Amino acid sequence: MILTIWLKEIREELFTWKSMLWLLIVSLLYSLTSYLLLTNKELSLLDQTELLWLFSKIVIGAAFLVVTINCSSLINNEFEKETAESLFLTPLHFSGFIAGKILASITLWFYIFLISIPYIIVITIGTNLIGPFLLFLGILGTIGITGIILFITGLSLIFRSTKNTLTTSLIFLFAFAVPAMFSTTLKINPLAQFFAKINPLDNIFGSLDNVLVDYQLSLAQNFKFIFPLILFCLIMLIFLIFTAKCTQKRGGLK
Amino acid sequence: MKKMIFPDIKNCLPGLVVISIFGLLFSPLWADSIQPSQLIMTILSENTLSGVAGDFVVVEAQIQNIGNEPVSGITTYLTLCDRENKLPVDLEDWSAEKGLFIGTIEPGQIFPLTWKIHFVKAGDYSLAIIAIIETESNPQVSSLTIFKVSPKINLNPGYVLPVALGMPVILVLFFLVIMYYRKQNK
Amino acid sequence: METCISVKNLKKSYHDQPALNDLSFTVEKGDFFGFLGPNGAGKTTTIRILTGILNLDNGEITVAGFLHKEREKIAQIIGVVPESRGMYEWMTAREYLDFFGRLYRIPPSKRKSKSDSLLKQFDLFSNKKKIGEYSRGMRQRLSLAKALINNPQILFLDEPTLGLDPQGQEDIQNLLLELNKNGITIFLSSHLLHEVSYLCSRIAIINEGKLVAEGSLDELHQKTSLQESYFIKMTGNILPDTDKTFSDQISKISSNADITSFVFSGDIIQANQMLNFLHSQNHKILEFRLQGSDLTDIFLSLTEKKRSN
Repeated sequence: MILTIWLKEIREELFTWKSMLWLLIVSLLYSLTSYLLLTNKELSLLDQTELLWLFSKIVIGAAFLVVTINCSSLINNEFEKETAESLFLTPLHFSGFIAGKILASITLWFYIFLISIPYIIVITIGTNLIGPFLLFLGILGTIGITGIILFITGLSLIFRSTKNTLTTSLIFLFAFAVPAMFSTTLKINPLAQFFAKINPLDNIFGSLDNVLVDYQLSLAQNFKFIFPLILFCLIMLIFLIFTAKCTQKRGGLK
Repeated sequence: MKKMIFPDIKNCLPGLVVISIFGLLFSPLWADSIQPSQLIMTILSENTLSGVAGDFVVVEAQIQNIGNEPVSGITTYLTLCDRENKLPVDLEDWSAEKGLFIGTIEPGQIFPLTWKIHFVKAGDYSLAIIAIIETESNPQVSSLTIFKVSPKINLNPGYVLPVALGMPVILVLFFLVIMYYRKQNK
Repeated sequence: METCISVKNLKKSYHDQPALNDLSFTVEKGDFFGFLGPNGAGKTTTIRILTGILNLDNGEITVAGFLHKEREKIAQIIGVVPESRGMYEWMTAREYLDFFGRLYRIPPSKRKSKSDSLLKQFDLFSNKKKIGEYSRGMRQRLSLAKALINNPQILFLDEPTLGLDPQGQEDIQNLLLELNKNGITIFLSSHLLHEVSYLCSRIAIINEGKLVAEGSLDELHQKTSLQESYFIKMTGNILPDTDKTFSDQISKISSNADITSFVFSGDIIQANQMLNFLHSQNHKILEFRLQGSDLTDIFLSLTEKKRSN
C-alpha cells in the first residue's frame, strides 16, 4: 500500500507540468553554472576540485530548495482538497500514508541527482574523482534530504496548512544554508563551531571538502560528518512519529 | 644676422667653466640616487614571456655583482603592472608572489633567478624585478619588460557545451514523450 | 435477525464540548437504516467513529462483529460515501477505481473486472474525461462506485444525494434499493426526510448527541403525540378571517385558479368546526380526508423545531 501511495504521488506530483518545469529550471541552472565554471576567463583557471566544490553546492542547494517546496504541500494537499477522508476509510494505515509521501519526496531528490550526473562527469573529466564524488554526493544528499523531508512532514501534521508549512520550512532551510556558506574564518567562535557540527548542510559540505580537497575517500574517514547527518535524521524521525501520534490521537482528520 | 646665429664664444666661456666645475662636484650624489654601481638585474626571458591566459611560464633572470665588494642580504621579487587598467597586479593570483633571498653575492658573481608565473588574465603587462639589500636604503630595480597575455577563447572546454545545451533539450523531450504516452493510454 | 452494527453508550467530545452523549442503537443485517438529526446533532461524527476515522471517548462499538479498534478489518468489509466530496481530479474514473482497488489489496484481474462492471453499472464506462471535468451527479455516482469496489457488507452513506437534481436523486435511490435487495446493509444519513422515509426500513433520530427515537416509521409515529391532520380541498381562497381563528392549525396551503387545498391539524371536532366555518363563507368542499403524520412531522416534533409553511 505504501507503493500504491508512492506511485500515485509520482503521477500526481512528479509527472506534472509543474514538476517538469522545476526539473527543467534545475537543469538550466546546472547548464549555466557548469558552462560559466568551465569557460569563464577567471574561473576556468580554478583547480578542478574547486569547480566540483562549487558545483556540489549548487546541486545540494537546488535539491534542498525544490524538495522543501514540494514536500510542504504533499500531505496538506490531501486535507485541503478533502481527499484524505477517502484514503483513511480504506485499510491504509496512517504510517503507510506518511511513508508513501516521504518516498515520493525522496524520489524527487533522486531525479535532481540523476540530472546532475552528466554535468558532474563533464566537470571532472581528466580527474579520478568522479566515482568518489558521485558516491558521496549521493549518500550525503540522500541522508540530508531524508532528514529535511521528515522534519517538513512533521511540520505538515502540526500546521495542516501548506502556506504555514512552506514558510516555516523555508525559514529553517535558510537558517541552515546561510551559515554553511560562511568561510571558515567566520566559524572560529565555539557557538559557530557547535552549530556547524549539527547543521546538516555544513556536514554535507564538510564531507565533500574532505573528499575533494583532502582526498579522504573512505566512509570511515568521513564518519565525523556522516554521523551527525544520521543523528539529524533520527531526531527528525522521532519528531515525525510524535506529531503523527498526536494527529492520530486527536482523530486523523480534525 | 651672423652675430645672432653665432654668439660671441669668448664672452660665454667663463660661464661654461663654472657649470662644468659644479657638474663634476655634484655628479656622485646624483649618480648615487639614480644608478647604484654594484648590482645589475637582467630579465633573460623577456622575449619569450608573452602567452595565452592559463599558460604557466618561467621568468628567467639573473643578478650580477659588478662592484668590488661582496653584497649581502638581498631579497628579490617580481612586480607586475597592468598597463591597460593602470593597476598593480596581486601576484598571489599569478602564483608568483614568492621572494628569493640571496645571502651574499661576491664581486663579479652572477646569480640566476627564476619564478614560475601563471597567466591568469589577458592584458598588457610590465614586469620588473626589485632587489632589497639589507645594508642599503634604496631598492634596486631591473629594466622593465613588457609582455602581452592573450585571452583564452574556448567555447567548449571539456565538452561542456553539448551537455549544457543537450540536457535541457533531452529533459523536455523526455517529458513530452511521457505526456504523449499518457494521452495515448487514455 | 443478526446484529450488524451495535453502538452502546457512545460518547465523544471535541475540546470538552460533547458531540455524542450516551448514544446507543443497533442495525440488523440487511436493514436499510436511516440516521436523522438536525445540523450539529452528531450524525457525521457517529459515521466517522463507526468507519474508524475518529476515535471514541467512551462506549462500545461493533461493526460486523469487529470491535472499533480493529479498524483495518472493518475497513475491509465496509464501503463509505463520506461527507467530504474531494476526489483526485487528475484521474479518470477507471484510474480512480483502480487506485482504491489497490488500497483494498484486490488482485489486478479482479480489480479490472470489478471496475468495469461498476463503471457500466454507474454509466461511467465510456467516459474518458478526468474527474475534474465531471458534473456533480457523475462525481456522486463515482463516489458510490468507489464505495462498492471491495464488495462491502455494509454501506455507509453520508448525504449521498445532496446537491443532485430530482432525476439524479431518483437514480441514486433506485440503485441503493437494488443494493439493499442484494443483501448489503445500508446506513444512510440524510437531511432529505422524504428520501429517508421512502428508502429506509428503520430510522434513528438523534438530537444534540442523544438518540431521540428509533424504529420503523409506524413505530416512530406511535412514539410521538402528534395531532391528527385532515386534507381539505375547497373552492375559492381562504378568507382573511380564517387566518386569525385557525391560522395555527393550517399548513401546506396550495392555491390553483379558484381551488385551494390545505392540511388542517386538529381532532375531528375542530375539523368539523373548520368545515362549518368554510360553509359559512360559501366555500364548497371538494375533498375532505384524514391524513397521517409524515416523517417531517415526526422529525420536527421529536427535535422540537417549529414547522415552516
